[in-house]
Amino acid sequence: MNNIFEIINLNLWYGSKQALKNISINIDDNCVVALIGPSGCGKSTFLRCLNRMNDLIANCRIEGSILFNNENVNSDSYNEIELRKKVGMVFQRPNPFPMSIYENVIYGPKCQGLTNKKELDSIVENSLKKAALWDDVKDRLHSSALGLSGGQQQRLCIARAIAMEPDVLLMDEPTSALDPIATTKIEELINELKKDYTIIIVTHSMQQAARISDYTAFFLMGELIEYDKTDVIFANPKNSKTEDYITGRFG
Amino acid sequence: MKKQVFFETLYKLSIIFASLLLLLIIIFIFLEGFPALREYGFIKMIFNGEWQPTAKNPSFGLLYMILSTVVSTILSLLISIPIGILSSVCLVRMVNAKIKNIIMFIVEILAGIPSVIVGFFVLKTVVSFLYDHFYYMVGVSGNSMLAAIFVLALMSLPTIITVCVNSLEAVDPMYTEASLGLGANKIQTIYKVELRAARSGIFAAIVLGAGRVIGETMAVMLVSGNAINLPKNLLEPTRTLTSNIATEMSYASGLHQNALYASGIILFIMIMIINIVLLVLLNKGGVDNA
Amino acid sequence: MKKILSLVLILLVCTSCKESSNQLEVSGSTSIAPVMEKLIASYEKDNNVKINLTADGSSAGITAATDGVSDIGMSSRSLTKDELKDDLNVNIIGIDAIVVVVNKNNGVDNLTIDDLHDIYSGKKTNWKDFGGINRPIVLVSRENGSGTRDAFEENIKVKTDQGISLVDSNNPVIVNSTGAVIENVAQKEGAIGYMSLGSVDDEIKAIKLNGVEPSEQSIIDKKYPITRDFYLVSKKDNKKVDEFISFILSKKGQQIMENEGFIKVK
Repeated sequence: MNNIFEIINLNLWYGSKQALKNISINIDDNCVVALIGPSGCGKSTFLRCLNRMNDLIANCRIEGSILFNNENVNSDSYNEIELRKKVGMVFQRPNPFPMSIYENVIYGPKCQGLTNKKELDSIVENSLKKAALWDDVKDRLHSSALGLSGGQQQRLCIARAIAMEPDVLLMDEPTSALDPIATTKIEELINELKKDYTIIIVTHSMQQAARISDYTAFFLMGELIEYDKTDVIFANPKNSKTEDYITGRFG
Repeated sequence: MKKQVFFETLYKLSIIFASLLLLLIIIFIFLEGFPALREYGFIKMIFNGEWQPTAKNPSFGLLYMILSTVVSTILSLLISIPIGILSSVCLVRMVNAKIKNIIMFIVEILAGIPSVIVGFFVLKTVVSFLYDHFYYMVGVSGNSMLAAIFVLALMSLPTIITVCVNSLEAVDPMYTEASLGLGANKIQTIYKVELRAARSGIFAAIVLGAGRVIGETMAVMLVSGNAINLPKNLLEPTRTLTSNIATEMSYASGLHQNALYASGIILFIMIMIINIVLLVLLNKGGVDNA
Repeated sequence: MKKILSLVLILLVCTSCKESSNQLEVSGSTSIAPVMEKLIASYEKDNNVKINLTADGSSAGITAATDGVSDIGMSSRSLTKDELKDDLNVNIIGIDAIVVVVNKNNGVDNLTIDDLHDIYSGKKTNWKDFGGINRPIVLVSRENGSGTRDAFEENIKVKTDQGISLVDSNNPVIVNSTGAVIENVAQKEGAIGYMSLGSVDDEIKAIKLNGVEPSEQSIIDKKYPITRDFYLVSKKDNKKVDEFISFILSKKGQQIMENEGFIKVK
């Protein structure tokens, strides 16, 4: 296996407040990595570094290197649009655009200038099939995406990200706004998707992390406390803070 | 408990007062305008262009004025809507907050400037310019449809910018993030997602702008030339329904006066049609929206 | 609620009580109405009368005075033979002269009535036809209902027998005040406009008509072509009416007339 991401000494400040401290971590190709930790520990901030979403935030300063396929993406010379094409993102709240289902899926490819109707059609079908949504919506591709249920909307967002054929999918608490049944469906989907993609997922639920991930990283107060195979983290953590968190003593 | 009853009554009374006032105005206009509609005929009034209110057999055709109201409204909105949307996009997404606040402050002052002052400004600038450069054409005096369109565009711009800026700012940042996260650039994000998400607000801006344009009177009267005809080009003078009322009200009497109120009725109907059409359009847009 | 209603009713009754017999009705010409308003205001200040003014046109005024609907009818045209009844008093209270004005840079300083007809009916559109520079003529006109416009258009015969104006279709600038006429003529080199003699100021140039300079003397001598007399029509032997008319013809009344831009008759 290759390291798709190699992060070395990452520090991040919001203004004068340091949110990430000296993070170094390697992420393997085609596996699921769960980022856990209490609220405000920096796990989402870290996730957003990986496709430079923090660029949108004023006063945010990042130091250190983020190597993606051995290239440092944390530099002005690296085009963030190229990065985002390779590293897709799914957000906490399902956020389909106020357009039809079809238009949502083809949004990314269309922004890259793809106009061929046949190609677009096949992208829509493949992406929706991969996101396990095709059977639900194939008869109403051109009705509004906002008419879907929350779980369906989130799967549409995954389909929309897949349509770009990325290498990595970042997921920021993708099931926290969903009911248990929808959550189960998304988890099943993640299990399917990891054959093709590296998935890095932030989650509040330790059970979820245990169920779906191969590796788990535990963040606390902006520091990476422990990173290991998921079974090791949950069965035999090396750090006492990790153990405290996992056994529910705080967080 | 008593306090609550008191305030509830106060609210209800305010609503009753406001609606009663509106109703009274409508009744008044219709009562005053009705004799002209009855004598001359509604259909004739809106399909005949001849306005000779002081002739022995007076004619009260409003067709030319209706057309010039419609044309000047549409053309001025064609100027102010794109400029308004583009500048609000620029203000919300492309300049820093400090500059945006300064510009918005100026825009809001502009929105509050009495129309007659805007009218004078255009009279001294645009109208003079047009006469100085096109005086050699017969029928060109500077006072023209073009000057009226200019005034109207100027009048509606602040309203459109303010409402558009507000609605763009209200766009949920999650749409922006989703779009950028999919590898779209800033411009694509603005035009494909943010403007789309702000659509209902932008429609509201257009409705408000159209209302402002169609109801504008004094400024238009100053610069339009007020001739009752169908302008063959934008440099010829024209008269809108509102300036018809304002121009002739002072000396009008009898049926002539009634006919001016009837212009008001027609204006009223036109504004209602615009509102209904835009409402329907908005709801239609809302179906694939919601 | 009931209290408010009864209050309103009481107020209404009171105001109608006040309307005693001490009042006059004046109606008629829209050209005379504005100056009549000033005359009434001045007269009411010193006398215990209430005078109601209605501007509904000369013909309506004459009819109302004849039928006794109004105490005084105002007319800006002379009465026809049919209208002239034995029991009517007809008084001339002032003369209105309409002066034609052009831009100060305009070389033309005399036009005939026929020229004016050709200009305002759109037959001739350039000043070079009248010895001026090569520049299209910009027509400035008053609005429908203006007495000045009525009188001007009748005099230069740009109204059909049916009273339909020929001006509207020639792209005039239509304004609803003398001030706006001055403004337009002063600003636009090719402009022509008209107004009462008293309103002319030095921003514009009043031209001769048929070779006659507009002046108080030429108007009183009836040499100046576009004038009209202002008439008041009333039933004979009405003391209150006669008192009011003699006020109008007094020095004070005539001064008001002059202030409003008309020529006094006494």
